[in-house]
Amino acid sequence: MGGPSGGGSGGEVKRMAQELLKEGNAVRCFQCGSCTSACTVNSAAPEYNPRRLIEGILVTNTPPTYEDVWMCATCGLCLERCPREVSAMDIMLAARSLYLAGDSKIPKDRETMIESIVSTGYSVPVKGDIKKIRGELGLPDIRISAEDQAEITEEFERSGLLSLIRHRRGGGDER
Amino acid sequence: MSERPRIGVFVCHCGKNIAGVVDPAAVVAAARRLQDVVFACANIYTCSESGQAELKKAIKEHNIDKVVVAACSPKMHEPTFRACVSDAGLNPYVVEMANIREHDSWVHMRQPEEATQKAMDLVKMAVAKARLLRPLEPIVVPVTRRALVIGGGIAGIQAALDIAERGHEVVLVEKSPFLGGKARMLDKTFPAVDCTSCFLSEKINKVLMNPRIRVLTLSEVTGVDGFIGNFKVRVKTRARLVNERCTGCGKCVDACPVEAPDEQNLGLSSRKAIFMVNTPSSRPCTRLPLDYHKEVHLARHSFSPRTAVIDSERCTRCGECANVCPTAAIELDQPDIEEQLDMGAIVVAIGFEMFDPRSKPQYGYSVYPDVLTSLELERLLHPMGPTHGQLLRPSDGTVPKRTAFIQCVGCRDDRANPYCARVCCMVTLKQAILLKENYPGTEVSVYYIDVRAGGKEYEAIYNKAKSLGVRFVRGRPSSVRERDGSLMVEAEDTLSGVRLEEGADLVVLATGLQPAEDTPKIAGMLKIPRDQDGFLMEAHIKLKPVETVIDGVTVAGSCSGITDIPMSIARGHAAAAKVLGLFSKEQIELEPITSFLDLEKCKGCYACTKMCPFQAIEAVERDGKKLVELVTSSCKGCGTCVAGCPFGALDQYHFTDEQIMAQIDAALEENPRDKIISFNCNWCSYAGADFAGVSRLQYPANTRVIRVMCSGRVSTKMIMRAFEKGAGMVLVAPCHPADCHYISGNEWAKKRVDALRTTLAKKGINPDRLWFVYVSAAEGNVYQGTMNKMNALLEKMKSGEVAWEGQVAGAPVAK
Amino acid sequence: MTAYSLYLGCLVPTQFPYVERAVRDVLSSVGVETSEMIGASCCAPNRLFGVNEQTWLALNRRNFSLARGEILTVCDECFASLQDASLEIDGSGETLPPVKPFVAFLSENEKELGEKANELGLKCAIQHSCHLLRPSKVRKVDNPENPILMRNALDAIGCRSVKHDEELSCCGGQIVATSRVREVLAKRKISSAEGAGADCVVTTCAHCLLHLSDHSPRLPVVHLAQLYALALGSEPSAVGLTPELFERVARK
Repeated sequence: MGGPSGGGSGGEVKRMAQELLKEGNAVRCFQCGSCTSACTVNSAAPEYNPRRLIEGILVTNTPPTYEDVWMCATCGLCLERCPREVSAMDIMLAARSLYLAGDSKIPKDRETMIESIVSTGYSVPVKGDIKKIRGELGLPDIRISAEDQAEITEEFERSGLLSLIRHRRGGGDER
Repeated sequence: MSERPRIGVFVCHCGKNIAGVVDPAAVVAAARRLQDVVFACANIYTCSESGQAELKKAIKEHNIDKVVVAACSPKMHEPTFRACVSDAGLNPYVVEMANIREHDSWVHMRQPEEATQKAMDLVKMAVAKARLLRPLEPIVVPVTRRALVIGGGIAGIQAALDIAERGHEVVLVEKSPFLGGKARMLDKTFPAVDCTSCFLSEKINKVLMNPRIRVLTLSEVTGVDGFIGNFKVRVKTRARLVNERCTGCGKCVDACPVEAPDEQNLGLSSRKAIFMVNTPSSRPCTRLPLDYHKEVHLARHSFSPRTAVIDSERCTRCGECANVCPTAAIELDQPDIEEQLDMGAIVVAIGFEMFDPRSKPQYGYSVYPDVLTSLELERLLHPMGPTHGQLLRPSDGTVPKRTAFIQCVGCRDDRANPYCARVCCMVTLKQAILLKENYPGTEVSVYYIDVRAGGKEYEAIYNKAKSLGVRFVRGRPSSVRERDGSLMVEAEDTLSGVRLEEGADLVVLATGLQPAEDTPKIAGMLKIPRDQDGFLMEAHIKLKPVETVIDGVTVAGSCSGITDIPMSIARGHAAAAKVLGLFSKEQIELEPITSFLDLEKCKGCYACTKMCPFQAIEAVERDGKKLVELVTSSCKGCGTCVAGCPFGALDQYHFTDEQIMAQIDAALEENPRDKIISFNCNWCSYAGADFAGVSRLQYPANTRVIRVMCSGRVSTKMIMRAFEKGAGMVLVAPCHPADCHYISGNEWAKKRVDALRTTLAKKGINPDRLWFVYVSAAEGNVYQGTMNKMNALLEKMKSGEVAWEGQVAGAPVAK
Repeated sequence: MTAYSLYLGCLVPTQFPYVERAVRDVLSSVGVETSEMIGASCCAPNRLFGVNEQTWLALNRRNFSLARGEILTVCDECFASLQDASLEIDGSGETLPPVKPFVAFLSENEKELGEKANELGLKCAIQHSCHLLRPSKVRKVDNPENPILMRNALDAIGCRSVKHDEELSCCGGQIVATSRVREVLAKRKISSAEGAGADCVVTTCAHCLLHLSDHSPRLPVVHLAQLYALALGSEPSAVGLTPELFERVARK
């Protein structure tokens, strides 16, 4: 199952592009290319081109694809170098939640982290022997109380994110 | 005045500017219902020839003796309508304008009904004031026909020449030891890529040879008082430490032990503490035969006075120069000179400065020696420059084989200067051509966002550069780095989407141009506002492009906005034309909106004398009684003393207490609780509100602006009158602290508002209903923001969420 | 002496407990008291990876409520996430406690720490965390083009920072697992650091720590707190610095 990566109904795609116009100062972009030139990911993967992705939003009503938006390293160099204070990073981040609100999933590794926060409060597993190691190092116990955990889980329920994720599950594909 | 006034009201459509939102017919109908209005009509363009003809016709036919024009801002056309009614036989000071465009139709575009209601109110207010207007006679003053030109660059030079050549004296004040400004530092200029010397030396020579132009180099203006035709200017000339016996032999330079960075070469080379000043060199152009040039240039440059000057900050006073000077021309104890000059007109031509790329550290300027600015490259190419015209890399003195130009450094950049600096594309094209022509086989790449070549013959230069093989990469580099000992320019070729990392031996940053360093100082001295980018503001970009809001002060060259050499020269001509226009009269008329005194009421408390920064009120004693006397010729018409007199002994012509109170009453006759009374000063906040209109910034339609010349005119009594009549809120909007046109009017306004606020709660008025917000002429957005915030609070009071009376924490004070 | 609420994040307490040990040792060496933010959740970096801003904000609102006084973070991603949340919840900075990254704490206490610390004499390749420096208008911690805080901090414990071409680049730690770009960036950075002759890579971000150490078989990757703890007299093994690390033997 994929996201509306160029597919999906034309109206939906156009709407996403329209929404993204309001993010990260997108309309100020004049396509100078400073962002792509500075981009961490572009230096290793030339097919990821933040300037071109913004051009899509500005000129052809084409939002970045699902694959594109999950490639961003969130390093912030694009915003730092941009003379118009356009943040390609913030546009990609905004697009991620729009995709999720569409019919996409979250990449598996991120979903695992989110589920982990929902159930343990931490984004990574609390492995069995960590208690022992911490004890040996003289560190306090890190167990989060049931009450605290309930509070944390509730935030995911309140925003509707939890049901959205659980609803999408099924299929080992990280998309 | 036993008879009732006969008021004529003229409501302008201004095409669709007003009529597209406000209903002129409704406003006319409402006007007709007002007492003393004997005639009201609408015009499509009241300021046009036909509109004015209609106005004059109506005045005659209906015996009108007071005129209200409901149209654009008075700052736009008050002079026009004053002249018009004058022509119809009325005194020019019986005109009052209602601003239903900048303050109404342009800022309430989506609320036509409210805007029309507001227009009716504004007309009612104008009629209320017009009823009480009296004819006034202008104050006539003589004109001193001597001009001051501040700045010895190309524009200042041109203005000085034009004025002097028509027979008037000019004093040209220049901060550096040189004439010629930035143009002097250029080797060649675009579009013809010809020698700067060709035109500049001639002009400088003419200045130096003109007996009516007194050139003061090493000089600065330290203060300006007075008014048009009668300025008193203080100038300080720093000691050159060399006297007129200097023959320019240069022996002193050899003897001097002190070295300093040479500003003329932007620090790329050094000079001694004592150095020579002369006119630009005679380097042959590459275009014409060498022999021809030798003759022509020698002829032009035979008059090349060279004199020494000492940089008194670097000089150690060791005296070695004096020891070798054959004519005893060194005077190490020479004092600075301060003088006061009487001037009739001032031309400001202080030019621009370059953006410092150290604030863009990603380009490595001042870290890597081979990263230069375009002006530095120009110096390298200049025969009088640090390398005598040879293009050599600062790091190793070799000729660069690959040169990269990076455009838009420090301009079109929200973190530096958001505007486009206009000339840098052309500078780069010129330099690229010079490189290609003089160093065949060299590679030149230009990294750009857009190539802007909008002037005469400019596109041809772009084509020439391309035909010579200059390579253009469309992509703004994100950084310049060193890799394996070579400079690497990192950019995306946006036209293909390919990321590039390209080596260069020399990187030239085409840096943007900014207002000159002294701009805030000069602006403060002359009371000229600055625009959002820091440039001096012209009075109106189309109506008065070389004049300022200060009568008698003009601007020339790039100080009011970056421009190329031809335009700088043209502006110099234009400024001179304005000055010559002024000098064509022996006398001029000043606005008679000064203060006047009722001696009976004066109790001799002398409070007013402390409020006047112009010494226009003197404390006197008459028959043992303490009184004051007005010096009307010094009075600038701010009204601060009027508002501060506890006994009402003072008043101001054309802005009398009675007139202002009538405006307040008229504004608040209906639904006062819904309204905000806004006291705006003519120079800053009134203009700021106008600017909000020009920028079409929208805000709610319940403000009623009362124009005063200065916020100092706003008295406690006026504010209380507004509240007593039921005003929802009151705003006093002065200039920013150091910007008051009348020096300290805004300080007095603040004192009065602060004092009043502490007593408001006791009077059953929530102190949050009185706001005090600084708004400058360029801050339309601040005015809009203030209107929005005030309305938000007003809504809370109307809904009952906040009390109309009583105290609320966090009262907004001056921002 | 000041007291801080210690915000540990996720990776440090669960994957790098010796880094936590090191931090606590450093703090106690200059008499700083800490209060524990018991029940604090993950800071949900990058607005919960861009997935849901509302949840991100709510989680951090809750985290802030668990703090007593100024918050000290151990991981720069936590710092950035908390700072962004703070600006969104309380733009004027009046109702929420301020957040301080670990390196800023070291900078403020440079004198005292420097006096107490031994000189380690290591050549370190600094890994500047993206989230500490950018966006510079918001973070306002250090000069984004020429950061000096970590350099100065290393100087105070007698270590030298080694310049290399990849010093300011991102490690790639926040890129999703399936992208091969993650690996390319980490390897590029490690080989650049190795090429410059560094003894180790030093960072103040737990994600950089995790990601780079996963791709560095030879060159040790450590948290600045570990070096500081060592210099202030902690047992090397207690703070995760076994002698082998310095003899470039594989960690696993």
